[in-house]
Amino acid sequence: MLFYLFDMFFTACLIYRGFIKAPEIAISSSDIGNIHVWPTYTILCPLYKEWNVLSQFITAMNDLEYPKNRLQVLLLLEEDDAESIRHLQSKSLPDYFEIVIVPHSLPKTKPKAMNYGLHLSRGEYIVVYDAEDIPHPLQLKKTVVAFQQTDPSIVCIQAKLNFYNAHQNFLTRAFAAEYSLWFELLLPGLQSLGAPIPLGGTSNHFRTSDLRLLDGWDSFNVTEDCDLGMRIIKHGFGTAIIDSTTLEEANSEIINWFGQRTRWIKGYIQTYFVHLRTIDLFGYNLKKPHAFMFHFIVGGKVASLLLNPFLWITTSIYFLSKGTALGDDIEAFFPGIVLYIAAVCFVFGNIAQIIYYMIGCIKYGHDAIVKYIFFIPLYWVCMSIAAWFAIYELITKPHYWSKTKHGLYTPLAPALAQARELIDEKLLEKSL
Amino acid sequence: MRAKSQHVQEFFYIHAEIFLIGLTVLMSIVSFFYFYQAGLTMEYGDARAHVNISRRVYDNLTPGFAQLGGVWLPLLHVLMLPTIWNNWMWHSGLSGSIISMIAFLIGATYLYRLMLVLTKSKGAAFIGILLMITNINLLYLQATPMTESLFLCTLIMSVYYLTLWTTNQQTGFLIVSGIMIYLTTINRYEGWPVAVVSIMIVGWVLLAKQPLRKAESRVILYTTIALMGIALWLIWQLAIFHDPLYFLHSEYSAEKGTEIFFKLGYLPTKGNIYISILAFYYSLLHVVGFITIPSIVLLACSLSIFLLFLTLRKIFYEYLPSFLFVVPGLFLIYTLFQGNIPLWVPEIKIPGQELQYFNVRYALYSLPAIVLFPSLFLKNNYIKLLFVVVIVINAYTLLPHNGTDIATIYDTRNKIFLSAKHTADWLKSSYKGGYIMASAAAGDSIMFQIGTPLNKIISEGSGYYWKDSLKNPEKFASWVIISRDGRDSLQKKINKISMKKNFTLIKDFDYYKIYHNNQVIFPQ
Repeated sequence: MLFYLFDMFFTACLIYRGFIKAPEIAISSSDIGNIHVWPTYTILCPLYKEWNVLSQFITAMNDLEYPKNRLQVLLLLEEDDAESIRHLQSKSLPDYFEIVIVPHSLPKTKPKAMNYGLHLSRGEYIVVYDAEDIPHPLQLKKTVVAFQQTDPSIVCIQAKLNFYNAHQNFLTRAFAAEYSLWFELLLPGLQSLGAPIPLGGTSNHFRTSDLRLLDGWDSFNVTEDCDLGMRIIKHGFGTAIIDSTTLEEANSEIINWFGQRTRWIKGYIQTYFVHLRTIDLFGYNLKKPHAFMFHFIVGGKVASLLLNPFLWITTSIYFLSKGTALGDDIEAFFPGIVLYIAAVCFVFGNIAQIIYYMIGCIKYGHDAIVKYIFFIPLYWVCMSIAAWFAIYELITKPHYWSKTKHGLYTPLAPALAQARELIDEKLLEKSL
Repeated sequence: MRAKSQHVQEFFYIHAEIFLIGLTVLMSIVSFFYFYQAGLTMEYGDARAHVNISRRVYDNLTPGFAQLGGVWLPLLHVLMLPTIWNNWMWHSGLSGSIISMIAFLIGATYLYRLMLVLTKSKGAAFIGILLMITNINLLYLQATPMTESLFLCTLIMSVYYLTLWTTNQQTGFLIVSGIMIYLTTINRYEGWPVAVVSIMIVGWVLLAKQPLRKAESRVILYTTIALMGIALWLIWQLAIFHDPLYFLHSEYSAEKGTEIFFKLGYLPTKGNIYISILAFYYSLLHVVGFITIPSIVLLACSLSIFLLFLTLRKIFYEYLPSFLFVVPGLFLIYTLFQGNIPLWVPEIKIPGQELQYFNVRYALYSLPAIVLFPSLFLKNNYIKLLFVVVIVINAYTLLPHNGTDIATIYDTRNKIFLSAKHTADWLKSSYKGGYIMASAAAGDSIMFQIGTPLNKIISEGSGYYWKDSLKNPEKFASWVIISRDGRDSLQKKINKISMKKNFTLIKDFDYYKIYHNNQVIFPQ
């Protein structure tokens, strides 16, 4: 209960810092104009049976306002993905693209492919993009400037993520609201506190030498981004958020979403257990209580997802049965203070969360989603169900990577029309 | 010499806000000590009830947050919780007075800032605020654990941030304003119409200044925050009393409270809009002073100018939120007309009622409007000087003269109060222990004066003890106090046969009857 109470106040603090102080790095065009020779940049794009969105990715890379002779795009294909390999090899790609076939081995995970790509990278800087990603054209340049302007201890710059098909259905709207809250408010808030930041799955930029120093990604972790975020802090480094957004495709199918969310939560649990082994590496600095933050951000968030359904049900039953024998039993079972904190968190916490989601949407510009936020508790229920699936999967197939299907929005005319408002028409072209 | 004087003037001009804060702190503390040493800070029966409600959360037969109750809104009671456990803070009322005083300071500072934003003149803003901080009735109420000062503070802050938002459209200001409205709605019911009107203002400004989609999202955000308090209160009522509108229906609701007044003919305002407006106007004269008259004229001028520009499609949006200050006054007139509250002033004679003042303090909710609108017209130094003189005279006329008292002190005096005082004095000398059964309405004032720990009292919030004692009053209670108030739930619900058999009427005061349990030896 104390966790929930703390979470309520701590989140309010993060929202305040994220919204009012806006601590993310903002790079102006004049800053960019001061640089004349751009460093080499490697883009890693792990692909698995996603050739259908590849044309979009190539166009997005082509749109990057970065000297192409300084770019190295590594398309990391799995050896057993014959179809993608065949499709790609039959096309003539721009010359800064390289096809890398990752030899078959277990575990078959994205971080393993990226580690393979890391060995082949020649760029001074490196970034990961998923195949359906559309980064802002100036993102690489902004990141280079940001690295030059920030403290050398900042080894990772995370771009914000959001969606181009946010209005496809309720699931995509809720997903977009969640990302808006996370990337627009909570992560900048965490950054302002110097806290450990669980990285987003894509658009995290590194100096390649730093990433090698960190030994790349954990190939066995199915949420390698979160794990890397924790290792960055353990090595005494930091992460900063940059005010540049990469647009992705929001998961629009519930089964597909469950698979993805189950994997993410499973990865968070893996990360939590793995880092507990060396918790002392977070240090014992009272001014920077990284270990506490780690428990709170990684362990606590998952624990709350698992516990939420029981607490919602118990609190609802208590209020509905107040004055009856059942209500008296619940009252007798829980110490008064627990009951009070639960009631405060149940009412204030949930309403506050709804307001935070609204603020996140407004900050990003998802104004049309705000009215749907009242239904976001349904999304929270789905997240809790996914969390329990994650526990099951952690036991039965811990390193199984549930591959998220992409390109689900393209057959739908309204979704396409909405995407067209946000991204260039040519990005929707299917042909290479 | 002249250069030095100019230097001093400049110094005060630059540091006007600090000077204002210092002056407000001084006025607040001095007036508190004055009223405290005169034994007046707990004169309002409501003040005693407020501190008792908060205290009951700790000090009760069945302690807990449910003791925060269901008719009065909870903000002040919650804010008192950190200090009310201390006996001295409880009995002195300081637990609530401190909150009122802080609210007074913040409210004055923000009203100054608001006037500065609107007039762009530190001088006009400073002079305007003098009217607020020299008002003896507000100075009295800010020394008491009453909700008025806190209400004015959150109302003023919400208008200030809304005004800033109208000028720059930054969502952060809109959110803060919404939070302040939320706090206003959980402090006093007058905040509810303010919340509704504020949403209308936000919608108006947004539709004029933003594309529809942006307007929609911001209105939804603001409405969610602003109405959150009302929604939570309804949920609270449902959870605790199984009726979301308990505050409207219960025996302590305004509606039930005024039923008896209506029967006795003490509600001349009910159904009569003219008398309602007149009662409000006279109460303004009594608590704000004669400055009300020019102020209303200037308010009417402001409104006319605003409407004139509106017809010309030139709207000064930054002035729009200030009209929120008018809402509590209009709501008061409406509730008077509905007969939901009694408001007595000497100018409106009520047959059979010797008291001249009742609830006149409600007029103070319009104080920010009376302060603000004249300050908008303080354009040159002569008018400013004239206004300072008027303020001084106005403040002087509100002070007690020749044995009279200030309006809000008269407001505290009524027969019930005197009867409660006599009852409490008698009980104080006779009470040697045991449980006292009394309804919250009857008990609050008496128990506070006796100084009995609240866990010795069996009342509506005592759960099982109350329910059981209604059937078998002799089981726990040594004393039973029943009031003549028609709302007293004890009078209606207690087992009268058991009372007759097991209790003896020991003392009959004008308003209260004290019974003693026959099985318990009466203390000599």
